Amino acid sequence: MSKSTGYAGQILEINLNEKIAERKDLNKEFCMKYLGGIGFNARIIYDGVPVGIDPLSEANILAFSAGTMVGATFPTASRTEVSAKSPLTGRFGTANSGMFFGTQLKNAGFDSLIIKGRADNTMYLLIEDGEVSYLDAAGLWGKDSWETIDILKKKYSGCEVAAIGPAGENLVRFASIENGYYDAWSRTGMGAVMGSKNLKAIVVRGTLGIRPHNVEKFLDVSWKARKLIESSPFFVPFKSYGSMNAAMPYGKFNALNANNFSQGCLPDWKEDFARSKVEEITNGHIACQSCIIACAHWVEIKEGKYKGLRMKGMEVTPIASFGSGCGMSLEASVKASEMHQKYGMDMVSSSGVVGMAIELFNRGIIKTEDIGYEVAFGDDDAILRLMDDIAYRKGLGNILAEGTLRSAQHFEDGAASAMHVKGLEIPMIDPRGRTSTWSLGILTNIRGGDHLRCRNPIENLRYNENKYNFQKERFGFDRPMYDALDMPEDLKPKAIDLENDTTDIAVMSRWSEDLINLFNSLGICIRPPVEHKIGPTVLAEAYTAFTGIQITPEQLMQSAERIWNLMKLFNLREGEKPEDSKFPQRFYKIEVGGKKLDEVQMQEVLRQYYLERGWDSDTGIPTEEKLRELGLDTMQS
Amino acid sequence: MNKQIMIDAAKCTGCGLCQVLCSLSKSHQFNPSLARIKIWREETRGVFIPLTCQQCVNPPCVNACLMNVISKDPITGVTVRKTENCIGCRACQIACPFEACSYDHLLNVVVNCDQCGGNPACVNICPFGALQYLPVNEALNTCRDAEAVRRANL
Amino acid sequence: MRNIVIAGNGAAGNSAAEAIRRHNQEVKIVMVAKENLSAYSACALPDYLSGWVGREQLFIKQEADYARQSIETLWGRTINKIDTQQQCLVTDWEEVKYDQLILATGSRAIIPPVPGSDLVGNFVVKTLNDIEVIIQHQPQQVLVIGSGNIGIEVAEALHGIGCQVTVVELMDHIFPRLFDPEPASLIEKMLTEHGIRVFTGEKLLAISGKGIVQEAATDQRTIRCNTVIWAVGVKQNIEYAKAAGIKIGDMGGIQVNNRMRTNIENIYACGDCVESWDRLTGSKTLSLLWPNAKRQGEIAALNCLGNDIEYDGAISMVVEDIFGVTAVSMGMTSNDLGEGDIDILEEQGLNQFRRVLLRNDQIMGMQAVGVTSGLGAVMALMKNRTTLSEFRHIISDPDLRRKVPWYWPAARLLDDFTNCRQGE
Repeated sequence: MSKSTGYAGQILEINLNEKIAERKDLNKEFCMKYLGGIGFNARIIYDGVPVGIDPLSEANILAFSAGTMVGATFPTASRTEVSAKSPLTGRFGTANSGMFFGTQLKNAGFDSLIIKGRADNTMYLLIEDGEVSYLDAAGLWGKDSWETIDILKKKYSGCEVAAIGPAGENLVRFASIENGYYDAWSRTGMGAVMGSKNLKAIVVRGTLGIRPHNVEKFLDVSWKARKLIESSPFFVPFKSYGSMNAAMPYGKFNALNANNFSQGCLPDWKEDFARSKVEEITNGHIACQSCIIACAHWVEIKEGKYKGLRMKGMEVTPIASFGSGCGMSLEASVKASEMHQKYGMDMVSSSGVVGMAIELFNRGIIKTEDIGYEVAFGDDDAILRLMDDIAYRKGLGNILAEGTLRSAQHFEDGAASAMHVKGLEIPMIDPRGRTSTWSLGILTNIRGGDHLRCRNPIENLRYNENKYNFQKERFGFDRPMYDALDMPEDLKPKAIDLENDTTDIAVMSRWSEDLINLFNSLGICIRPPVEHKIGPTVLAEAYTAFTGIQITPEQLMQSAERIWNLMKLFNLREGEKPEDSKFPQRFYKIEVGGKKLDEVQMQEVLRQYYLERGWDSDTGIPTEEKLRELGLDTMQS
Repeated sequence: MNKQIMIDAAKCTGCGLCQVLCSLSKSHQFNPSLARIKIWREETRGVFIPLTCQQCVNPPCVNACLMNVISKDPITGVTVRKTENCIGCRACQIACPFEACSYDHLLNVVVNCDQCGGNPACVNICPFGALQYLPVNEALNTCRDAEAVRRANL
Repeated sequence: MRNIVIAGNGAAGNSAAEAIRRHNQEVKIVMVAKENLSAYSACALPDYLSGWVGREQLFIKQEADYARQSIETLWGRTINKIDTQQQCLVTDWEEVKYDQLILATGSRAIIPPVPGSDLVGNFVVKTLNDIEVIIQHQPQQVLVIGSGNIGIEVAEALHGIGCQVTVVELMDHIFPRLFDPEPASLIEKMLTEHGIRVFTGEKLLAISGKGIVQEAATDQRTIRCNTVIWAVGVKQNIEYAKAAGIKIGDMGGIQVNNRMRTNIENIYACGDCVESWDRLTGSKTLSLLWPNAKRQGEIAALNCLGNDIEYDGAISMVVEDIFGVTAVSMGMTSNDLGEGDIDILEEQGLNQFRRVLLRNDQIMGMQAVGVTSGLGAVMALMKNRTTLSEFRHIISDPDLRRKVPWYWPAARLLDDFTNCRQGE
C-alpha cells in the first residue's frame, strides 16, 4: 500500500523462541474486511491459534492491534485491542485500552504486533521505528507494573509501555496487561498469556508519522465528529463525572452487584454517593489520545487510612467492583484499584472471585483455616489481603487465582456462588435490577460476562421499567434524539418504537455490538456521547478520507459484523455450547429488590437476538447463509 | 498588538490533539515527535503541561545559537529562524528554559512555534481551553485575573 | 556623522554591529578584521571538518548583508596601533578615524614550544583557513593534544572521516575545564568505545619526523601519526591594545568594567579578548564562549550608543554531541568551586549522568550526559540565583507552580538523585 494510507502499513510478527521478526505488508482487501484493531486481531487469532490448545502454552498468540484512526485528530481515536485465546474462558480473549500505546505503535511503524512462542529467559521487547530489540528482563521480573514502567519510561523517554505485574508473572488467569500506570488491557487474562510467554513488557516508541490520505477531508470529518459528540446531551455529564454517571441510577434501580450479587444495592450506597464523591476527591481531568471528553479523573484521598493516595481513578467499574461487589469503602476501593494496577490484575474478575470466596466463607464452606484469616464483605483489610494472596498465589489465593469457574469446583456447591457467564466474572450490573440492552450484552458477549461490548447508544438511565417481558426497555427521549442517531433508516424503527416509547433489546443489542465492534476496530472510544452520535456514516467518511480506501457505511457495518461472527466461530471451534449463554442460576431463582429473571423469557430474547444476527435461533450458531454473506463460509467452526 | 499563546496547564488533560495537529500543519503527518508544542507528562502526579515557545523578549536561544539563525521578528515579536542555516547542534534547545525548541528530525534542524502566522492550530483544536491566543497584555491580565479569582475562592 | 569602528568580525564584533543597527540607523559603522572573509561560525568548524556542514553553510553573513546594514567592511587588515589621542585606528592599509571604538579582536590558538611542533603536520583549529589546511594535508593518523571542547570535537570529526585518532590530555581527565572526573570518564568511555584512543595524565614530550610529522613521544609511549592537532588553549589578541595603554588584566585579557568600557575613553572591548567575570562567583574569567561573546558585544554596542546597560557576567554553557549522546556542562565544575562547602547531587545510569553542584543551596553548576530535558530551566534558576529549596517550595505548592509550569521538566531533572554528598 502507498505511504499515505493512515495505516502504518505493516504487521510485525515476533517469534520469541527464535528472536526473529517478520514484517507483513497490509493489503487493501484485508483492511476493508477487518478494518484494524479488534478486526485484525480476530483474523490473526482465528488463523494462528490451533484448536484446543492450552492458552498458557507457547502455541497461544498474543496480538496487539491499534485502531485504524488512532494517533490522529479524530476525536477519541486512541484505542488498542489485545487478543489471545483466553486462559480464563478458553474462548476468544480480548481487551481494549486507550491512552497513547496505539499512537506510539503506529508511529513505530506497525498497526499490529503478533507475539508467538515463549522466550527462553524473561524478556522485554523494544519496538522503535521499525526495529525490534529483544532485551533481558531479569532486572524487571518480580517488580510490580509501576516499578517496571518507571524504569522503562526513564530509560526510553517518551515511550509507552505495556507491562505485566506479579499477577501476570504468576499466571493468575485474570491477570491484566497494564497500559502505562493507570490503564490496562484487563479482561480475559491477557496478562497471564503474556506471563506464560516470559514477556515482562513491550516498550514502543516511534517517530515515523501517520499520513492521512486526504488531509483536508479528514480534518473536516474530525471536526464534524467533534461537534456531533459535543452536541450529545451525554457530553457534559460525562465530561464532568465520567463513567460514575451510571453509579447513582444503578444503585437506585437495585441493579448493582452488591455483596456478590446478593443485594442489588448496599444501604450506604447513597443516591448521590458517586457523583458528589467525584467532586470531593478528584481534581483535574485526564484524557486519552485525541479525546475531547477527558472522562478520567485525578483522585487524591485526603483523609483516613489511605490519606495521600493519589492516582487516576474514580471509574465506575472499579469503584462498583470493590465498593459494591465486596462492600469496601470508597477509599479502600481506590486503594484496591491501585493494588490491581500495580499487580496487573483484572479488577472485575478479582472482585468477583473474592466476592465468591466471602460468600462461601459466609456459607461455611470456606473456613478460617482455609484462608488463615477471616473475611467479610466490607472488611477492607481482609479483602486487600486476600487480593494480595491471589496475585502471589499464596494459600487459598492459589485456588482463587484460577477464576470463579475453575475455583468454584474446589468447593462444595461452589458453583452456586460463582457469578460468571462463560467463565468470565460479571461486572457491576445485575440484570435482575435492570433488564436492558446492556444486560443482554453480558449474555451475548463474545468474551463472556462483560458489559463493554454491547450498550444501547441512547440508554436512558432515568427509567427502569420491567413491564416489557425483558424484551424492551423504555426509550424515554424525544424525537430529536431519535433523529440524531446514526443508524440505517430501515433498522431504526425496528430498534426504537417511538409510538410506544420503547427500544427493542434484541435489535439494539445486535446493532450496538456491531457498532462497538466497529469502534474497537477503528480505535474510537465507546463512551456514551460518542456512541450516541458517531455512527457508520461519519466513520465511513472518516475512514475513506484517512485511508484512501473507498468504503460505504453499509460495508463498514458488514465488516464489523464479519469480525463478530469470526470471533463467534472461534468460540464455537473451541467447543462453545448454546447452553453456555446463561446467567448464573441465582438471577433466575432469587429475587433482588423484588425482581428476578424469567428463564423462558430470557431465552426468548436470546432467540430474537440470534434471529437478528442471522444465526440459528435455537443454537446461536451462524447459518451457512450468513457466513456466505460475510465471506466466512470457508472458515471452520 | 503582539499576541501570545497562553498556557493554562491546570486545564490540560494531556489529550495531545495540539501535537498531532501541529505536526500535521508543519510536517504533513500526524507525528507527535515533530510537533512544536510538547506535553510534559507528569503521569504519576496527574499533571500535564503544554510547553511551547513563549516568544521571550530576550530569548536565550538567540544568544545560544552558534549560527545566528534565530532572531525576533521586529513587527510581530515572534522568534523566527532561518532554518536553512541551522546545523542542528541543539544548543538553543538546551538553553531554552521552556523546553520549547523541537528538533525536526526530517530536516535535521531545530524549530520553534511560529504561531502559524497568527492563527495557531493548537489553540484552535484545544478542547479544554488550556491554550489561548491572546494579545500579550491581555494574556498577562488573564493570568493575573485567574489567579485573583482562584485566591478569592479559597 | 558619528563613526563607530569595530575591530573584529567574530561573534562579539558582529553582535555589536547588529545591536547598533537595531537601535540606530544613522551612525556610520566600520568593521576592520584580519581575515578576508565575511562572518562565519567558528563553533561549527569541527562540523565542517567532518563534512556535516558545507563550507557555504558556515557563513552566518554574506557580503551583501553588510552592505544592506550599511556597514563598511575593511577585511584583510592587520591592526598596527591605536592612536588614542587622535582617536584613530592604524592598520597596515589605512588610518580609520573613530568616535567610538569597539575591540573584538578575539584570540588565537597557541602551539607550545615542544620539539617538533614546527614540523609540517602541526595544526590548530581556530579559523576557517586552519580547517582547509588540515583537509589539504590529508590526515590519517591524528594526534589531538588537549581534550577541551575543541579537541574532542575535532577528534570526533576526524574519526568520522576515517582517521585513526588519539587524544592526549595532560590533566587526569578529559574536558578538564568543563566536566568533573566522573562524567568525563563516562564520555571518555563512549569515545573509546567508538574507536578513539584517549590517554589522560600524559605529557607530550616531542614530535619527530623528517620534515613532516611521523611520530610523537609522550612520557608513556610513542604514537605514530602524520598529523598533530593542538587544542591546548588560546591567547588573547591584545598586543596592539596594550601598546596603546589599554589596561590588561592579570589573566591576560583586556580589562573592562561592567559596561564593557576599557580604561581609555571611547574604547570598549568585548568577546574573547576581554577579561570578564563569572556571573555566579564574581571571580575573573576569560570566557571563550560564543553566547557570552554575543552578549558582551551587544552590551558594548548599547553603551556605546549612550544607553546604560550593565553586563551581568559570563556564565558557561557548553553542549557537546558525543556520538549522538548529548553532554552538557553549565556553570562551574567541582574544580572551579574548589574544596569544601559544596553539596553534590548526582545520579549515574547506563550512558547517563547528572550532577548538580550546590553551594549554600544555590545551583553553581550542572553536568549532564544523555539527559537534556529541563536543563534550560536549571540554567535560568542558576542565573536568577534561585535556591534549590525555593525551587522545591515552588514546585510543591500548587498555587505557585501553576505560574511556572515550565519548572516541571527541571523538577524531574533535579529530583530522584540516588547519590547525595554533603560538603563539610
